[in-house]
Amino acid sequence: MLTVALPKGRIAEETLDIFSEIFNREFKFEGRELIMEVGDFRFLNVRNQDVPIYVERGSADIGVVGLDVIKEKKLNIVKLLDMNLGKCKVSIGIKKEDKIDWSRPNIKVATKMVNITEHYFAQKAMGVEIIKLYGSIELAPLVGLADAIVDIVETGNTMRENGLKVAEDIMDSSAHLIANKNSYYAKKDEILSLYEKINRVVESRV
Amino acid sequence: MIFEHEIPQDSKLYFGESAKIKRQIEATCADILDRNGYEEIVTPLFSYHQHISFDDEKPLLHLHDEKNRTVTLRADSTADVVRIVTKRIGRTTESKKWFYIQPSLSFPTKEQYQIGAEIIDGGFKEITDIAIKIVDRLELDAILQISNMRIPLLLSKKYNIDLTFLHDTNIEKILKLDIPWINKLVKIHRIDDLDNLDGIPDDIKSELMVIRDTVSNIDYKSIVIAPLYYANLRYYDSLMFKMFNQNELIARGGIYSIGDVKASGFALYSDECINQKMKKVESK
Repeated sequence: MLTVALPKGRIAEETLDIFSEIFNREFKFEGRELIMEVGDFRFLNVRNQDVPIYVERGSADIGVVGLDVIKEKKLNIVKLLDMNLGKCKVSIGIKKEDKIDWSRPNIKVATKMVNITEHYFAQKAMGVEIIKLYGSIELAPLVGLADAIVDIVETGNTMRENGLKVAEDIMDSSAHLIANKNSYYAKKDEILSLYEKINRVVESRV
Repeated sequence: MIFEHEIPQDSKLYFGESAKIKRQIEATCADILDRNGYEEIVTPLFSYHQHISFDDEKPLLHLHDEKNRTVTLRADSTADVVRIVTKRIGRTTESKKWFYIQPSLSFPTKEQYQIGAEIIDGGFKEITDIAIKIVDRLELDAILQISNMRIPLLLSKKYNIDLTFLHDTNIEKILKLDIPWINKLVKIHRIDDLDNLDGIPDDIKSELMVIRDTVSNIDYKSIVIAPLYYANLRYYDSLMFKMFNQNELIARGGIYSIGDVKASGFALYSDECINQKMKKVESK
């Protein structure tokens, strides 16, 4: 039995579609259920940011989570496969009339992604004051809380609708299949067999 | 504000049943090791040489001695035991087999109780056998994983495989290289997988044969092979093993070099053993 942690929402649905295609049966969470058992799999329906924690701590053998979350959490897990789902970018957003002045000594940035932000601005040798927010990040520059934001961008519509623009992209992200390190070594046959099946579906859809 | 009942995160507190289990584990290990010719040693909590053990020194807790030289708290016992046994007390003892029961401490406030054994000039089988004997006597469940550090080191130095891929177990990047014999290495899991090594370069193949020959002489119920596993501790340079149960590392050891000393050793992680035994007590 493999336990699979999935991030609530579209990525979970798309991942379960892949499982349905592979095993030719329905995989679907009913209503608000958090645990679903089908065949040799048990699925956990958890928050996106919590997926790598369930996997790292061994409550799930494998999981599906965005690369941005993996980079942000810096966790000790096995990275297996880019599933090409939920493609997005982590970008710097600023007010549409502003420009980032890289010669200034420091900048105030609002974000959920503290580590990615800190690392990016450190690479640019710019001092950064990070304001950790938990949602509606776009608001921060509009009310003078921050000079810029670092956030997930899919289409850019949310930023545009709030008078912001993308100043720079930090990284590309998409959902990745990950595994717990001990599970990977203990259940390698099962995990790699599943990896191969998922990889075939992912490649067929590219 | 610190409450009166608070203790620092990752520090350890045992009382009642868990403290009794801790004492029983330590007594059992001491008895087995003593009967097998190991002498006990207790090394200082302060050390000048901990940096030898770690690729990344961030876990080390730094202090200064009376001459303002950097001292760290003991985060790993092996390097100090070997250095003290060979360099400080080597003239007064013939013994090559040593054991210790003492905690290690790392940043910021992590305590880890350990029971370890080191054999100067020792071999892999001898140290693995004694670790298995202890795990069996303690009735602990664990999978034994066997690796050979020479394989990742060869892959990095001779075949230009980025060592960070191996260090981070980034199988995605390793498989993306699309090198058929490396894909074959990724899939090796059981001893039988070492029967067909066609296509694998001779130098890697001979290191895999070292694993196969070793494993065929080890008597244990559950063994997996992990040829691409790379240890974080820098002194392991040949065969090594891990014993784990679910997400808990029970023991780790192998062959290593510290300076000009070749030795073998292992550490049993007491806290994880206590957890496993406590779960069994609670489930009763």
